[in-house]
This record gives sequence, C-alpha cells and structure tokens, in this order.
Amino acid sequence: MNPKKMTVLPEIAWVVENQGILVINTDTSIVKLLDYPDAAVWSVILRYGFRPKAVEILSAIIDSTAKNTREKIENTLINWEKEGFITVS
Amino acid sequence: MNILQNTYLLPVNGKYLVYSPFASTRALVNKSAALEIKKGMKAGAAFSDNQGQVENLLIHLNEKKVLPEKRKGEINPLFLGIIPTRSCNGACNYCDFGADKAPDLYMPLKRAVSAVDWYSGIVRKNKHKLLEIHFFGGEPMMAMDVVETVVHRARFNAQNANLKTVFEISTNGQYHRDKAEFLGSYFTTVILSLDGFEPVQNAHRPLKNGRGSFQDARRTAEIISGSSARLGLRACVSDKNVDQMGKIAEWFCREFKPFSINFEALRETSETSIKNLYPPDPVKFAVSLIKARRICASYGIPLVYATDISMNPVYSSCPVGKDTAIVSPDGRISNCYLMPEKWKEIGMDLDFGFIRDDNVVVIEKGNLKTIRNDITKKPRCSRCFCRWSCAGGCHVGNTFPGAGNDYNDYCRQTRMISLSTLLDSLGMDEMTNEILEETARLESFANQSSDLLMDFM
Repeated sequence: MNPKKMTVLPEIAWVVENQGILVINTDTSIVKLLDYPDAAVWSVILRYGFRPKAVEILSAIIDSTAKNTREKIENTLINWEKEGFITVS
Repeated sequence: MNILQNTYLLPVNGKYLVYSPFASTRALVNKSAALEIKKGMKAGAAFSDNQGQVENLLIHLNEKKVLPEKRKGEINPLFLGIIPTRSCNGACNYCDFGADKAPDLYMPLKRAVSAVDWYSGIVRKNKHKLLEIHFFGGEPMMAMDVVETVVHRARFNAQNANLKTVFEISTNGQYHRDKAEFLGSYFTTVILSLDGFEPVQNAHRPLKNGRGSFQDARRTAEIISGSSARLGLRACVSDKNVDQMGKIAEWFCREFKPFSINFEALRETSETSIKNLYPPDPVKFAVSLIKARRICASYGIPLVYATDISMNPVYSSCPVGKDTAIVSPDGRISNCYLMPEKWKEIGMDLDFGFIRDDNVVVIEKGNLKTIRNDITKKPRCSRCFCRWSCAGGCHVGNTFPGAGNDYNDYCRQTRMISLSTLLDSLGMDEMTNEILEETARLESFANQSSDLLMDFM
C-alpha cells in the first residue's frame, strides 16, 4: 500500500468527543467511536496526509518506530475503508 | 495565625469596610463600630463588652482560621505547561516574552511526549481526575505539530487511565482557519490576545511581516466563539486604548460572546518607551475597568482582573509557587513561563527540573522547595488588604526580592479594583459610583500605607 490521500466520504460526519472521535454515517445512522490511538490517526492523517511529518507525529503519540507506525496507519485505513468511512487513493 | 494581623479596615466615603479574607467576611461599619471591633479582636475571647451590633461580626472574625496550605513533599503540579516554541509570528510592541530574541527552537516531539507521560504518572499517583495542560509561547501554534502531539498523547493517556483532559492555550490567533478549528474542537479554553478595535490592535500588535494582526485575530475569535471551546479575550491596555475599555468590552460581549474578558495594564519596558507606548494612568485604568466590568456583567460575562479579590486566600495569584511544571523547548522545567533572563536578572531561579536528552525527567527538589518558600515572603504586601488575593502579583515583575516596599502603579490599580470588587460583593453599587466620581479620594485610598485594622486609630 502506498497511499497518497485519505478522503472522508460525503455521507460521513465526525466530531471530537472526550473519549475519541465519533464518526457518523448520516445515511445509515451508524455511529462508531474511534478511541486512541485510532483517533489520533484520523486527526493527523486528515491534516497532514501521508507526509513524513504525519508518521513522525504518530510515532511520538503511539511511542513506536516509524516502520511500525506506517504499518499501523495502513492497517487502520484498510479497516476504515472497509467500514465505508473513507476512500484511500 | 494572628487574625488581627490579617483583618483589614478600608475607609470608604466616611464609612469603613471590614474585610477578613480568612473569615470570608465583608461588612460596612461606622467609625465607632470599627473601633469596637478593633478592641474586641485585640481582647479575643476575653472580650465581654461587645453586646452591641458588632457581636456577631466579632464572633465570626475571631473564629480559628488556618492559612492556605503550603505545598510540601513530592511535586504536585497545578497543571502542566508546555512551551512548544519561543518563536512568534507577531512583533508586539510591548512583548515581554523575548520573542524577537528567542532562539528558533522547537520542542522535539519525543520530549513533549516525555513531559506528558511524566505528568500523567503524577496525576495517576495522586489519584487526581484531570490531566490539565496549558500552552504558552512565543506563539504555541507556530509549532502545531508539538501541540497536536501533546493533545493526542494526553488524550491517549487519559483514555488508558480513565481521566479527563483540559487543554488551554494562550494565542495570538494569527494562523489559518483550519488551525483555529483544531483549537475549537480539542481545547477547553482558548485565550486570545485582542487589544480592541483595528487601529489599536494593529498599533499594539503588528506582525513580523509588517501586516496588521486585527483581521486574523478577529476571524479566530469568531471561529472559537462558534466552537465547543470557551473563548477568553485578553486585552493589553496602554495609554492608547485605556479610554476605549468600555466600548471594547461591549464589542467583545456583543460580537464574540466570550467565556471571559481580561484586561491587563501594559508593563513599561525600555522597548515600549522606544515604541512610544506607555502604561495607562493607574486611576484611569482602574476606573475604566470597573465601569467595563459592569458592562460585561449586563451581558452575563465575567471581566477578570488577574489579581482581583479571590474566593480563597492564596500565596500566589499566578502559576509560581503552585508546583506548576512549565516545560521549555530546551527541556527545562520551570515554575514560570517568562524568559529565564527575566528572573535571572533579579536574582531568582524558577527552574526546578529538566528533561534529559534520553527523555528522563529530573526534578531538583531543593529548587522546588526554595521557590515554594520564597513566594511567601512579601514585605511590601504585609499591610495591604490584597495580601491574600493579589499576593504580590507577578513575583518576577512586581514583588521580586529587593523590589522595595512602596506600592507601585500595579499595586495601586489592584487596590482600587479590589476595593470595588468588595463593595460590589456587598451590593454597594451606589458607593462604588461615588468613589468612581471622586478619583482623588480613590487615589488617596490606593496610596494608604496600611489597611490593617490594628493600625486604625
């Protein structure tokens, strides 16, 4: 996987909550709470895309190597794509 | 504790306001009652000739009280402070944070995480419920990656330990909309510097690129106002905007509906004089602030003056002396967010630890103990009724060791504002109106050398 861009689907809304990030599918009313560290992945990748800075920030947050952090990001995005929250191009 | 040495008598238009911060007591009396109270308090329990109207007041004033608890033992921070960078995109004409001379240094992300983890550990150990983190600068948002890392790591730690997070930032609002929206989503409180209308804001707070700062500050205020974060507006008042304080307060309330408004008088430095910027006259500042406070109250919004009368007696009205751990980009842990040069030049050392290069936190307990003790020594304040609320104000800029025992303009304005606060708390609005009209008398009160009841003749 060599992702370039994460795009939140138009029917998806999200809001920051105390416990993480609440993702809502406005078509199906399905709601999912992203807790940490996934909430950080959502926030950081949306802001920085897949630039090295995103990996650096997330490595620090989850206290992991760059390699493991990249794997974590990729696996998380695959799951979100399957769940119909995002597309990755 | 000697109650008599901490009970005050403040002359107000022919009457006297009895004030005891420890008994949480405020009462307006005439001269003969004031003398009777003095006599009764001197005699303590032995005094039996107090059958008049002051009896209940005396019972209350003579109750055994305890001083605010002095911090001791292991460090227990009021909050964690993070200075992501000392750099700033602003070029404020009154900047006291040395942004123009600050090294272009940003806190490494791993160091920021170490600070958060260390603090989280203390919070858990002390069984507190809140992870409270404040950001200072420079302009913290110049190091957005540090801010984000700290916020997410703290939220991650909070999730693991079932804690809540509180984030506060002091900021100039000079950045793109998306950064302001991040603050609006993740922060509890955003303290935005906005000195008033466009001409004053741009004159006080130009940007390094030569542009004015008004438009971006206003846009950030609007974004935060419409978000879940609380917006605090902080205005620096100089001789240029002191006459506009009421209008500024009204505009703030109407336009931004902030959580709080804070006016602080400009502090004169060699730099401000060069820029033809001067502190406001203290009487004019105090009177304008009291009037502005009423305008804000009509909107249900508190106007905060940092060293005003507090609910509970304190040794310090700022983070210093409260174990507050403020981490600088270079890893120093201090009790104060000012540049270290500021306190070093007056012989103070407010550092009490550091984060090593291997990200281990080291606390120098001896330094912490010295800071805890030193802030309680305030000879200038010993006879002032603001002793237990203002508590000397800024320990570096106002009541540092050797600062002298005479009131300065900061003391005088604080005394005037605090008197008005006490009167307002008694519902004596008319009396406040009278003192606002007679500024000479107000000024005379501000210069009164002792407020102690025991010095009353």
